[in-house]
Formats: sequence, structure tokens, C-alpha cells
Amino acid sequence: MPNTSSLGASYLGAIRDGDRRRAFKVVEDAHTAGLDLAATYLDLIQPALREIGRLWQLNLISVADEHLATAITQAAMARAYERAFAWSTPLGRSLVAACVDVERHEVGLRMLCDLLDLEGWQTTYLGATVPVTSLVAMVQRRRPDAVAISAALSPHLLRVRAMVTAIREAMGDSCPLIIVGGRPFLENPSLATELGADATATNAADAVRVLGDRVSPVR
Amino acid sequence: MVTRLPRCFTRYPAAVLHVSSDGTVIDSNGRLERELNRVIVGQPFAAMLDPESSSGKWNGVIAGLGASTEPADAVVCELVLSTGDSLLEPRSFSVLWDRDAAVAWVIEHPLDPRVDDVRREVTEVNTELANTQRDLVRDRARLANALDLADRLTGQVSRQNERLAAQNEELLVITKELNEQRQALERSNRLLDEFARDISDDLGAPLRSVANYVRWIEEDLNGALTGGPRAHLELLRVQVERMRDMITSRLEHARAARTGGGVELVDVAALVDEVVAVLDPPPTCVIDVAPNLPVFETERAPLRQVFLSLIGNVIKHSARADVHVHVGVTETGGAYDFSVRDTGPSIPLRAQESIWKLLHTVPPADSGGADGGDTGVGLSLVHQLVETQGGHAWVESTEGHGSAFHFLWLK
Repeated sequence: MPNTSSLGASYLGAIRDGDRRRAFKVVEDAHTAGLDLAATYLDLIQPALREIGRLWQLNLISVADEHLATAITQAAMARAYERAFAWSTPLGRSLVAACVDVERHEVGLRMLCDLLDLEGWQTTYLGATVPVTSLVAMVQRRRPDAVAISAALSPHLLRVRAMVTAIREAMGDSCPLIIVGGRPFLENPSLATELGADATATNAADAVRVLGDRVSPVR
Repeated sequence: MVTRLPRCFTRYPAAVLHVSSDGTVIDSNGRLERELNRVIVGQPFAAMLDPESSSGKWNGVIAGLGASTEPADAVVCELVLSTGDSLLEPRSFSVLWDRDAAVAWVIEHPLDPRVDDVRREVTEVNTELANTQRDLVRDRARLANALDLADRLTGQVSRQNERLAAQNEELLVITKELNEQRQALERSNRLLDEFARDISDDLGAPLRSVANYVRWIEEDLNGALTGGPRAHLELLRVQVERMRDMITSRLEHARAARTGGGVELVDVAALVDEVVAVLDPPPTCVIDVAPNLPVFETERAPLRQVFLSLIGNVIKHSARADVHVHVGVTETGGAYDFSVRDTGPSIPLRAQESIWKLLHTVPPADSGGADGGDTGVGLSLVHQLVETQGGHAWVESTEGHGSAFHFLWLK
């Protein structure tokens, strides 16, 4: 088994130093050592990003450092995803993913889209700070099986409720399954139903499992 | 202690605060009040921050006030302001204080508003890149699959080609063997022809002598021969003639079986007319031809010989001069079912198979067993020619109702 804690420490050091080549090398080493994409994302990258956030709160690094770490991570994820992707016959399930309109923390949502893609889902990743009207228009146009909404900070939960309400009003009886995620839901999963969503998950891999259970592959 | 901010700070393009050592805002240049739409002087500065990300950090900075021994110190601190129902983008503040640490200056670093635009743009481009990469990776996988499939198909085609080449080799060998066999057969046929011609010549010469002797005996006796001896001499002459016919017919039979002609457009009605003209039947014999005889591409010579043998056979074996012959046809899929029907004597059921054999002659069922004097070659020749063309010949005959000779001829 690959030593994820050692790889994780190396990865954290690389992104903290803003050294993208070192960060890519760590991800490549993890792949070579047999770490799959979900483990690379959840056991290596996600803890490193949380630590970067903690360092910012301690005023040990700046917003610029944090942004650089995130940018390097997104590039590293792109490389890891490319290596991991193997063509599977699409199962006919689709998902539209967006962060609420004031949310800039998008990495978790991108992890979910990448992992769903590997399972044969057709995902549309809208990224950070998606206006409610844009998301509703996209859902109406694509008519996906599921919508994923991400909010990393508690003050953004009201925006989650606004998005869920807008989608339900627009789609009526043909409303897709709505799954929400982010740190507030990790601490209090019942928030999901309180905000009108259908489901939540503890991380991207758990969300893949939940969506797989809740959305039938045959439409 | 002066705690009022100089008026000039109202023109500073960002927030400037005086904060006491317990974190309470003492004075402000008015920027934050306008942005947060609330009163801040007299309030703890921490109440304006996002508790999750920034309150702790701010409290740490306040706790450090006065701890420095430097005459003046500064900490740069990034904080997230809260409007109550949403968070603002993080912004940087410099916190400066004197040694006594009674008052701290909190000065926001002014930001060019275009930075927010750039950040928004970067976020959008980043999202676009992620989706584009996802599409590219999927397309590349599809392409790889297609190439893999093409490789497999190419492999299959290559193996098929190898098999075909091997089969081609076998075919070439078989063709060569067939050519050799055909050449051997042609040599054998030539020898057979020569043999048949020799036999015909060898047998013909003594037969001609016998015929001559018979004629000379008749001339020598000059009419003195009567009764039984004369009848016997006449029978001898007839049999000699019959034997010569048989030899000639057998020779033709052997040649007909080997002589193939080219395929040509044949008008069967015209061909039958030509056959009838050659046979020159007696005037009392009625031969009618169906109007639907076809015009089609086939070998003319063997078809002509078949009609010649069948119609000739009917005319020759008819016991009556007013025999009625009908030539007809029916289309049956890939072949024509030609028929030659007569009102002459019928063929006994037991002989309906054997008549197709070489040198076999059948006395009519209603002739009392008299031999018609035939060579026995005609129907055998019909059978052989029809079978060679891939067809089949048969006879239908009921006593007292004549016979119908049929043959299937492929289109």
C-alpha cells in the first residue's frame, strides 16, 4: 500500500512552497504507487488543502499563497484525472455541478465531477460563484438526472436554499435529484433536508456512492 | 492621547481605523460604515468579521499588541468581513501600534477594483479549462478505442487475406490439376474419336461388302429367287443397313456428348421449325408448335439435337401416318419444361425408364412386340445431352393416349 501520509506531507510542502513541478511529481508518484484517483483526491490533496486553509487562518500564509496552492492543485488534479480516465460506456446519467453564487471554494465539487466521470456519468461542471439564474437556465437546458450544489462556508447556506428553491420552482415535477455538500453539511447533515435538498454526502467519493444509489442508470 | 483620526484619512481609498487594545473601534474614516451599512465606532472590530475564518486570527493580533519591544510594529493580517448574510472577499490590513499599545492603527490595503474583475475572469477560464480538459480526455479515449478497434479489424482483415491467399494457392493448384486432367481428357477423346472412326471404317468396309454381295446375289439370280429364300435375303439387306445406321449413330452419339457450342440467343420456335423441315414428316403427320416457345440464351446445337431426336423418334415410331405431334413449354423457375407430345403408340410403364439407355429399343405397348427397326441411340442421346446441361428428361405415357416426352432445360 502506498504511504499516503508521507505523500500527503510532500504534497502539502510542494503547494505551500508554490512549487508546481514538485506537486505534480508527488501526484505522479502516487499514481505509480497504485493510489487510485479517489484516494489521491481524498487522502492526499484534500487534507493538504485543509491545512493550507488552516495556515491562512493562523496568518502564516497569505491569500495569494492560498490561491497559488489552489491553482497548482487544480492543475495537478487535471493531470491525475487524465492518467486515471479510462473509457467506459456512458451509463446515461448526467449531473450539473455548481458552487453557490458567493462561493469560491470549488475543488471539492470538481473532485466529485472527476470521480463521477470515471463512473461513466456525463457531468457539466460550472465551477465557483455561479449565479442562481445561470444554474437554473443550465438545468432547464440540460435536464440532468442530478444537480450538485456546493457551499464551503456557513454564511453561504442561505444561498444554497435560494438555489434549491429556484431549481424546484423551475423544474416542477421533473426536478432532478439535488445533492448538496460542503463543510457545513459535514458538521450537520440534517441541514440538507432543512434547505430543501434531497441528499448530502461526507466527501466526493461518498457522493458518487449516494448518487449511484439514488439515480437509476436506465432512464 | 489623541484618538481622533486626522481628517486627511477620509480621502484614503480604503478603511482606516483606530482600535483600542481590547479590539474596540475608536474611530473610523467612514469607509467600512458605508460598505457594511452599520455603525462600527464603539463596536468590537471582531463583530464585523467572519467568525469561522477571521475572528480568531484578529484576536491573536490584538493579543499581541504591546508584546513587541520595537518602537513601532506592524502585522499584516488578511480578514474576511461579514455583512451579516454574506461574506466579502478577503482583504489585507496592516495593524500598527506604538510601544504603549494603547491605540492601534488598522489600515486596509487599497485594491484596484479591476483585481476583482481579473479574479472573476480567472475563475471562469479555470472552469472552462476543466470542462475542456474533461471533453478532450473523453474524446481521446474514444479515439483510442476507435484506433484499437481499427487495429483489431485490420488484424482480422490481414488474417482473412492470409486465409484467402492460402485458398487462392489451393485453387491455383486445383486449377492446374484440372487443366492437366482436361488436357488428358482431350487427348483421350481424340484417341476415342480416332478409335470410333477406325471402328466405323473397319466395320463399315465388310458391311459394304456384305451389302454388295447381297445385291450381286439378287442380280445373279435375276428374279429366280422367290419365297422364303428371297424374304431371307431381303431381311439380310435390312439388317445390314440397320447395323450401318447403328455404327453411324453411335459415332454421332459419342461426338455429341463432347461437342460443346457457344452460348447464343436461340429462338426455340424457329429452331423447332428448322428441325421439322429437316425431318420432312409425311403430309398426314400434324406437328403444331405452342406460341409461347421462348427466345433465350443457351447452347443451340445440343438443344437442336434434343428436339431432332425427340420429334424424329415420334415420327419414326408412330404406328399411324396421321400422328399428331404437339411441341410445348412451361416455365418452372430457373428452367423451361419442354414437351413433345404425340398421339402415337404408348410406352409400357416398365420400359419408361429403360428407353433412355443406349441401344435400347422398345416395341410399342400396342404393337404386338414388333421391333420398329430403331438404332436405340436417339433417346439415349437426349438423356445424355439434357443431363449434361444440368436438366432432366422423362416420359409420361398412358396406354391408348400416346406419350409425352419432357425435358427440363436450364435458362
